Amino acid sequence: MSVEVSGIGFDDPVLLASGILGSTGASLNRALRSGAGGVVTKSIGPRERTGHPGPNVFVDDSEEYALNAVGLSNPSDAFTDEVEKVEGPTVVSVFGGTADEFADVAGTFAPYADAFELNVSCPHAEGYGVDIGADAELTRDVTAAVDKAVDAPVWVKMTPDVTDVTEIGVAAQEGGADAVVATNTLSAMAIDVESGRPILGNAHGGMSGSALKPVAVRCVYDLYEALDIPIVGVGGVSSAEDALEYMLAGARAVEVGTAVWDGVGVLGEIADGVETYKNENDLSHDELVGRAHELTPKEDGDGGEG
Amino acid sequence: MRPITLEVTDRVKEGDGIATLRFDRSFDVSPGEFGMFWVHGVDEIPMSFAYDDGVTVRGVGEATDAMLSLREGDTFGVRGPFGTPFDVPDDDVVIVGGGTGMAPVALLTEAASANGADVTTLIGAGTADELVFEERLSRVADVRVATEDGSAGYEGLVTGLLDDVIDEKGAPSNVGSCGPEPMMSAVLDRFDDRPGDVQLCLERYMKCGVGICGSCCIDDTGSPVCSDGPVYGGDELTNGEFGVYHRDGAARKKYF
Repeated sequence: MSVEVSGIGFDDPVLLASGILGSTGASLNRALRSGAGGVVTKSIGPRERTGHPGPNVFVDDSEEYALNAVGLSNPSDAFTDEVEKVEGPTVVSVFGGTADEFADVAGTFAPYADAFELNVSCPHAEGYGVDIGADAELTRDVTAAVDKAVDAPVWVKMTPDVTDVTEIGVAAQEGGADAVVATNTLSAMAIDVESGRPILGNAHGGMSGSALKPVAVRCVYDLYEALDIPIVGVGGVSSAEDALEYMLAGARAVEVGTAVWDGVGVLGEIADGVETYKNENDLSHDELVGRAHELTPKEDGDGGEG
Repeated sequence: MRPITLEVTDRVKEGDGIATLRFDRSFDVSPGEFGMFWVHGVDEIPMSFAYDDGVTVRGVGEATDAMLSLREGDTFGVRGPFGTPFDVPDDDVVIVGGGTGMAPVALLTEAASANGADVTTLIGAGTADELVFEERLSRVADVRVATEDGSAGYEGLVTGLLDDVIDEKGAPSNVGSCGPEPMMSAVLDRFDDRPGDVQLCLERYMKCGVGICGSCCIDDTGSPVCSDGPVYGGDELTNGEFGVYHRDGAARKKYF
């Protein structure tokens, strides 16, 4: 079942997404015991933060999506005590307000990280996240700074909130990224009709869950056409079928987030389902990844039926 | 779920800086389950239900102080009930509560009594002014109180009273507890030969309440208190952080 992404081996292609049950070494190990092939930590920044006032997270009654505005809460350097306990492939998610801050944080965690994931896509923390990742030049600079600072592979997490995700993906690749992760949450808001107030304490938040999947699958599909580096798919994966959709679109691995609210055991179930599909269809992992592109009708330029 | 809006229908002062808010909707609540209570414009915080239509608040910070300032007709939001509740005993049980932990202790006392159990409930507080639910629970259980300053009942820690009750009645088949963690840890110590018979209701910093964000995960199992807990068997809490530390909003360790 093992797969390789940017030179790092994972026992299976299903990883725990950043910001999900990832605040402590013990909780990351619990995800590994539950079948995750690897884990991505909560995003760690240059300074400790407690985040936004609540409500920080809710799952909609439809269960089709969750909204969150946690606000990049993190213990900064103190997280080294947690990440050193992790007993499996570990991707350390980092954020900062400048390229230097990204590089400094990555440098601090270099002894513990098998790879880094750059959070240039959080939609609800001013001066961070998408304020960088919606700008190709800033994305290239931040990626290059971390690539220079550490030896480990650098993954760059994309925002879906841009007109052309491939422009940002290409910028990350030019900056030296070893993989891209698509996507972070979609900028969103919900209002409580009875009280008339935005539900999230920060008003704005990010949407995750099933409703995000078609948007993020499209991003993965387009990035696969545009990039040479591998892609990790994330957004609304709650079943093997969801994971396979991302892989057919071009993802070598997937990350699972919101779906753990049904129980962390979903990680292993997804991994098992992907393996079963590959066996039943006699597909290697390389044959599976991006297969939808071979099966997509090509425009032949004659106008067709329009 | 999205938050539901509730209106305060009654506010009862329980003690010094402690009040119960009753609201205009009843929930199907089991002892130990909690809600994420949203004080509009301030914050959202986890609190155990004290009634199926009520919550008992002690002012310990911005959000709880704002809750205490609410009056009849004011509104706030809630998501829940969430969490894994107490297993309600039907034989004999000693229930030990203190401070804000009295909310689940009250529901557990009533549920165990309704289940036919022989219930002894011990209430601990600093002074007589901070004792809550003594009268409410005396209707269904053998209630004993302990105050640290001796202003009511046993003088000293409630765990001292527990020792006296064990001497008097013998060791109980079941134990339930909720309150300050050093108190619960001291309760568990008294049953270290059979920790699985002791159920403890934990309080941790929470953001999502539904097992996604990881803010409340405990060492060294990594279990999220909001969904696996807040009630655990004592056998699930050995060799971890229980009684030693918890984490704040930035996931920094804070020692008890």
